[in-house]
Amino acid sequence: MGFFREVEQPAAFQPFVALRETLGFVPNLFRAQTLLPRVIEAEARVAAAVLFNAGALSRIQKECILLKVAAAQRNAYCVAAHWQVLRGLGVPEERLERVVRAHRAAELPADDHALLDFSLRLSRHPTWVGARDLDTLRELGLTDRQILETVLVAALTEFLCTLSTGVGAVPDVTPPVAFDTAGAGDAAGAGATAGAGEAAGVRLGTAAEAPWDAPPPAGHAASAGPYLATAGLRPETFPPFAFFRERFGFIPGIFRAQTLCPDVLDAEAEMVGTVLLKEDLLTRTQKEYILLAISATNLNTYCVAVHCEMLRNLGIPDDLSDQIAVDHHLAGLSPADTALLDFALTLARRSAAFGADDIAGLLRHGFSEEQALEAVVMTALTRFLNTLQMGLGTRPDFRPRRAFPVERVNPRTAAAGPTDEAMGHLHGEGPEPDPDDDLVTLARARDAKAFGELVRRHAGRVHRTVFGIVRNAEDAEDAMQDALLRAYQSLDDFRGTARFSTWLTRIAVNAGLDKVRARKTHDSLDDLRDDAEDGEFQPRFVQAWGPAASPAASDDPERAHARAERRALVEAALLTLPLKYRLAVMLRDIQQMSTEEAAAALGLGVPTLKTRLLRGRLMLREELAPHFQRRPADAWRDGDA
Amino acid sequence: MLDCKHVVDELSNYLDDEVAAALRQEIGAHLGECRTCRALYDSTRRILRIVTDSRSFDIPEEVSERIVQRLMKKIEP
Repeated sequence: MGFFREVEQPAAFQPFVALRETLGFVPNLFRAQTLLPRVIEAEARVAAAVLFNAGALSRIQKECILLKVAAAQRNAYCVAAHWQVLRGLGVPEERLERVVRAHRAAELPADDHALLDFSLRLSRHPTWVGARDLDTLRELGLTDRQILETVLVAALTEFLCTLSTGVGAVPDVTPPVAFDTAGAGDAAGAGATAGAGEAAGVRLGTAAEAPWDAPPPAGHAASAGPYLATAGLRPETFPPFAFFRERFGFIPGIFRAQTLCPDVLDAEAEMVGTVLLKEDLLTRTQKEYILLAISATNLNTYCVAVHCEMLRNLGIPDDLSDQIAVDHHLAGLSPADTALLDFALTLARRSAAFGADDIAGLLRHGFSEEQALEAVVMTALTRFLNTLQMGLGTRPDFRPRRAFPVERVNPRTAAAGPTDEAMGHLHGEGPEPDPDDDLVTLARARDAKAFGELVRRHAGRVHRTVFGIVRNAEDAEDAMQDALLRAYQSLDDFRGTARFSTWLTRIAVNAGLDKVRARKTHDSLDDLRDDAEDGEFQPRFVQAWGPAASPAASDDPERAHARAERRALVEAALLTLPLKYRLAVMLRDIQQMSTEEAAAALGLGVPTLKTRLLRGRLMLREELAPHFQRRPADAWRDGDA
Repeated sequence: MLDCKHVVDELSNYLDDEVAAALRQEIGAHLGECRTCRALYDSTRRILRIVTDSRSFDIPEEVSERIVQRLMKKIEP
């Protein structure tokens, strides 16, 4: 009953068993997510920890907050469900009606009024919440634990409302009549929140009638948090903190501020692990984009700072993150990622406009149903975290930059320098003696015959190098002649710090480049620099290798083409690559030089060589793969990735 | 687990066996689960084998000998 396909779960599926026990039925909200049972488990744990576990607030107080906030969000699904739950807990219908329509008129204790006021403020004007609001609650005798639970229930409500809209959950029971006119008495200023209350034609009240809609006094902004007391939990003895430290390199302040509710933290850690850190559907980067884009539109400084930091550690440049935070349409993201963020922002910010068409749109961009569902859950999680943070007033964590476990979070950084293995190859047991040493010694003593022997030995290498640059036989012969003469004339400059073959290759590269320059054609050398300007290379052809028409084609592609034909295909493909990538591939894969030798021959650092090599190889693969496998080219990320 | 972008970023190093052991293990685990990256890895590895064995731009014997002779004339006293 929703936008997503339902998958039958085994009778023993624990969350459903627990829901049947607690509620007597499995809400459609969860049925609509059976494509991802692991997500249901994580959600059910958080919901249970926040709502069901014994705490400082009563179950009825929590359910009333949920009902009130859901009504303010105009979310029929959650209002219907929790109205039903409260009726089951024995709360009379008239009282519920008052809570939904005008809680200030309901006969509730003063602190209950205050908790509802605060929850509404947090839901409707999160950026206005400040230490002053919490002091008001404390003055009424509410404890920090009670306030924390209130913040958690409000955040959970945002989560459930977003989720129910995103999955198109049909109410389990008919929404109460009161919902149609919800807020008529107290939803003053509803127009300030897009969609909320407007349809009901609510009366605009004054700040005195609706204190949650009263702007904070001047100078209030960003008052110092975190607002609540904390208990001293340490990662050594508290597993959720150990989890955050291991996965993020630090314990985000938003979690450190909730230590008064350790069981909730435990459930949140599982939720983060299940929803944010799993990578089999959406990538971690796509999920961080969602977090960043929504947090930015919610003006949540804390979450923007934290998730920019996380993206930085995923290798995303700061300016790209900044652009996503400002306007992702100008960030140069792929059309699919742009659509993903459009989808998430519509759901998060304009839920009344969200519908099945949005899901269909995402599927058209190649996302699978599971990925679309995960995007919905990520959007809901973001609203949960944003609301939580505003209620807790945590300050941005600025420690992570150095504390991140670099190898785990950003393998690219870890690999920026030569790896241990690569260094060992070069220095571990000392360089192997250069087999050309003896001839080089003779040649330096002007023994022309010895040099002739060296030339015969390396003619193939020099020829391949210059041909890869000049791209025709005639120029290659000229360039080769130049290179060899130059080498002979500068033998005294050869210090033996690199192998002779590497040194000779470098001379060949320069001779080839000189030839191209002299030609003054449009075969530009400009692309030898500015790797950064090339942008991301996205492999498009990601078809699995087999099964192919014949075993020969799939298992032994070499046999699918005659040797000469194969060579012609490879040469043609190589010559299509931009020069700098072509050179990297030529030296490394055709000449079989080591990474360090190839870098030295091209006068590049190893990281730059590696970057060019990766791109060159991917481009080459893109060119050649269609010739060596049967099925037609397919699109990158075709939905079952 | 690593995401696909990181696996692609490391693909070349992985093929060259130039990644640290821990990362190698993580990439291996990712390739075991992700069809797209697996396809990318498999095809790149096979294409590189073809490229390496292609003898592309090998110099014809007669050209090599002609160049050596011409060079020797210039440098021999």
